Amino acid sequence: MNVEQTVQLLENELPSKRETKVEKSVLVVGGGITGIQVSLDLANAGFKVYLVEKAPSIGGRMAQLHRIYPTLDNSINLLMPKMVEVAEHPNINLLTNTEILEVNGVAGNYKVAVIKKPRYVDENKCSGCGACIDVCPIYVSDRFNEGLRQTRAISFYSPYSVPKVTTINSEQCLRLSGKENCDKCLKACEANAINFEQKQKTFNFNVGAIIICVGADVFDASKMPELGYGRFKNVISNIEFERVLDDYGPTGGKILCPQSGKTPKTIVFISCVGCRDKRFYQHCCNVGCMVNLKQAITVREKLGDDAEIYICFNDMRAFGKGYEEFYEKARSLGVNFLAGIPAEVRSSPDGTLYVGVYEKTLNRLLELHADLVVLTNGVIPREEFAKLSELFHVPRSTDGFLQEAHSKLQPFESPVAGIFLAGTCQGPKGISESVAQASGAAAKAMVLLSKRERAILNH
Amino acid sequence: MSLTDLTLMAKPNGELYKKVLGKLAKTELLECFQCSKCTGGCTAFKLLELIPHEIIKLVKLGFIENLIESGIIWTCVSCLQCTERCPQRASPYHVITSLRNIAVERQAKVPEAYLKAVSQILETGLMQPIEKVTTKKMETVDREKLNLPKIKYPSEEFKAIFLKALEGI
Repeated sequence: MNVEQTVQLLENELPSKRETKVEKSVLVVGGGITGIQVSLDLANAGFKVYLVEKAPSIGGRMAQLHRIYPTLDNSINLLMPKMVEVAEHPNINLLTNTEILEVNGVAGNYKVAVIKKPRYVDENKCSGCGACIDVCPIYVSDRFNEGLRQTRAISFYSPYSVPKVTTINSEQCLRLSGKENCDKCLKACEANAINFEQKQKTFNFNVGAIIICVGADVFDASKMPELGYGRFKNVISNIEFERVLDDYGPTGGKILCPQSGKTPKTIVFISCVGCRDKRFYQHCCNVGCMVNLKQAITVREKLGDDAEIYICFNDMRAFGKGYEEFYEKARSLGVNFLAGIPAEVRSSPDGTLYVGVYEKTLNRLLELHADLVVLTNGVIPREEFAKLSELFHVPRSTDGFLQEAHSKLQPFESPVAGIFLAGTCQGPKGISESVAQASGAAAKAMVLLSKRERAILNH
Repeated sequence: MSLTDLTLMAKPNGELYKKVLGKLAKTELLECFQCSKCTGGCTAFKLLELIPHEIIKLVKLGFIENLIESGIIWTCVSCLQCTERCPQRASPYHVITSLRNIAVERQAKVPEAYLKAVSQILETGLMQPIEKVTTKKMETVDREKLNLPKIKYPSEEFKAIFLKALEGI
């Protein structure tokens, strides 16, 4: 047998090669700031984008925030133009109120099935006037405002909804829950957009790549009974406090104690709630310290020099560009930093909170009488990650977040070819890092999408 | 004030804090982030347990009353190493000096050595008394023996100015 014959033989022994056509489209899962950035980058490069968002509006966590650190820009002022751009972009197919049902196929050609839940309002007809909201007799807790305010059973998801279409809460609505034959919104709507008969729809499409950017959750502090969250009204979470600070939030931007309704004189921030805690999550939430500083500076601006602000911290981690200067700014504004995490928060019947903290640098036990305690709840993995991991065959790392292919060299890719990760679903991070990873993941996806064909091995 | 020190049962004093601020040239001198570098190199800490970073923290929180009454602020030897080395351009030395000023104003107990130094200046114009020196041959000598020039004692004019300055504090 000569060399040529041997090569021929080996080639026949090797698994047969097959090639698949690469679809010039991409599925983006999640419509937060990361998903928005990924979609805009890919759509501007000429690829067709299917942006799937579970909530009735895009915007995600960033839409809930009051301001962003370290520039102190208004969060929604930065986000809104991008949200509108997504909604109006010819290359982006925005699917809100939609969840992923099934994913099959290989990199370059994934077959995706999504299910669009009914919102009982026709997205094409609704003009966004909001006439239906005022007539609705049913009050429900406002999820966007963390339950601090009530909204109606038919309402916009948030004041900044994109698309600007109302949604009916089918569990609370009198008609949809079968309690009463109410038709108040139906009569109020001039555009004839309300449709109680709307059914869920399934869509199928093929995409070349998938980018997962579903974001992360925030720790529920009621699991830590020593801090009194849920027991004492004046102990609130940092996301609730963001809504309180927002001018369009439940208090119109005024800082008030939930129990007495008065302006607080002493505010205490407690860091590292739920994170850096082996009972719950061991990782550092990456943003808590800076969120504390930002909120403390905002309190100083809103309440003036008379307010006493204390930050109880474990380590102060100000690691990014402009962050150390931001920390310095907080110190120069008279924010008091206490090195030590309070062991417990106690309350008197009138709502005054007693916070005992052992100051590490002074070696003394200090007691604070606070009017308001803000808990800096950490960024934690979502419960849905288990389902997502199964759906996309993407593994999870030990901290519960989705696992990237390589922590140093392939931070944008999942171990599955053609599936990319961006934003806080890969690990806790701030807005700037999320946006950076979004553009990185979009670029990596473009490498795959720009090929005409992709070889796949058929074993 | 909503803060209490449960270890010493002390309450912060906002007025005293404002007084300290008034004596400092800039608030930057108080902007400490508790790296404890000052204490690490403090001359007085090694002998007398002065903790500069703790003093700054106590002043910032308003626990000034006890500081002024304690003798610890008088142990600073004014070597200025803390001011030189501070990564945040804070200065425990300046803070301690302003605390001493307040202590004198409130007629708190001032260590004898400081009072001695004042009378020494009045008498001789020098911080320290002129001492005799023991040589290697175990001979005790004074300036006269070493043929050093005589020290001029301060004029009456200087004394008047110095006493006036002391009254002003």
